[in-house]
Amino acid sequence: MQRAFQRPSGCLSDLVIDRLIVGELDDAARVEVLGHAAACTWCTARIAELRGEQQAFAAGPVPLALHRPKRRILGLSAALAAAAALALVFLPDRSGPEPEPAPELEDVVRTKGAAHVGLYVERDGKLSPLLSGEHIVPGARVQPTYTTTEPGHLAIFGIDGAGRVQRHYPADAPASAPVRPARDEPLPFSLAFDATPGRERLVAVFCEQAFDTAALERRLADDVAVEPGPGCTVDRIDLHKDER
Amino acid sequence: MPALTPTVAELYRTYGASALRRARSILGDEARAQDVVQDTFVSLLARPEQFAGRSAFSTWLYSAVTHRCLNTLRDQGNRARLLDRHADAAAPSGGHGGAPEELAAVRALLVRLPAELAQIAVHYYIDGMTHHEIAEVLGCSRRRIGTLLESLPGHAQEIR
Ligand SMILES: [Zn+2]
Repeated sequence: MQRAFQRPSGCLSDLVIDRLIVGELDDAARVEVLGHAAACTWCTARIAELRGEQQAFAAGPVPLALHRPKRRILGLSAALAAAAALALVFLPDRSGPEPEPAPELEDVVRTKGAAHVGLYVERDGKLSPLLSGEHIVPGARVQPTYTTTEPGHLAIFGIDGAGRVQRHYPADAPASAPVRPARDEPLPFSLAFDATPGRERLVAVFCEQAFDTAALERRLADDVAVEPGPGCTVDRIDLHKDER
Repeated sequence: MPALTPTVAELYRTYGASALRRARSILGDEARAQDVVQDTFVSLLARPEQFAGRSAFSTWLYSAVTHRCLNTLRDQGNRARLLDRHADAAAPSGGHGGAPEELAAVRALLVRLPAELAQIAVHYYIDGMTHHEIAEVLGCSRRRIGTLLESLPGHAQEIR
């Protein structure tokens, strides 16, 4: 096995350059690194390249899942702080003295490649992910997002406990809406659930080509299972509205 | 690098580029690399105590992203797929590094190595880090890194 990334012997590693760029090096290390770079075209070029990368990335969007206000955990033991953090993230609409055991984040954050919809519930100015199977309180406001690696077309329907179908997105067009590749891109609407307890289903359909949403809505109303046709995927999210 | 002073979103902006570059070079797949990076930062939001402040944040992040990438390679069925495809190419070779097929071979080997050794192999072969830097990232002695790296060709032969 060879070293896959060959840099001239004695030159700066990406780790050192990354640390230089973000200002983590102490004065002595910084002087040493810059001294080397001043006499080395390879490192000068690499520093410029990584700095450009870093600046471009920093100017880009931050995933919605990371948009949460700074939390300060003071006066708590590490274990309690961790439990409190988990409770904030995973139990958006329940409260009580004993937080329920929460699943590991890795298990529940969607990482699959297929196009999908994400839901975030806002409470006290914080956004928490809302996952299929979770409970919500009536009146909760939920922000949907979408993630897709390929351009395509999207429509989102809601089906309430009584089987009534509502087209959430696009709300007043008979055809699906085009979407660009994006990750956790907020959709231009939010969902407010009414006070009737019961099941609430969301059905998101992604297709390569534009499709007729009115026809799909009728099929959902007739309780016909929506099977993804060629070039389509369906993402379903089940929520349970609790009594207040 | 103060532990909780910046928000995770701010950390993501500052350090995300280097995390993504690492994940890309290990996984060779843009979408999965983005997933790993986002998951790493999301997990920090849930469990900020992961970063104990014993090292610089960059150093911690290198290690955390590498660890997740190795898990990703092991999971998701990639293991079997890569092994089938590249088992023959996984043994040490004498060529110059950097070719895509060679990186694929390195990945195929990584998923079969013991975890610590796999992490060291990533830092050495993919990152091109020195023994000293690897020791800093992993929080162990330089001597141990040297010894483990010396044992790599033997592991590669066994795996073959
Ligand atoms: Zn140099």
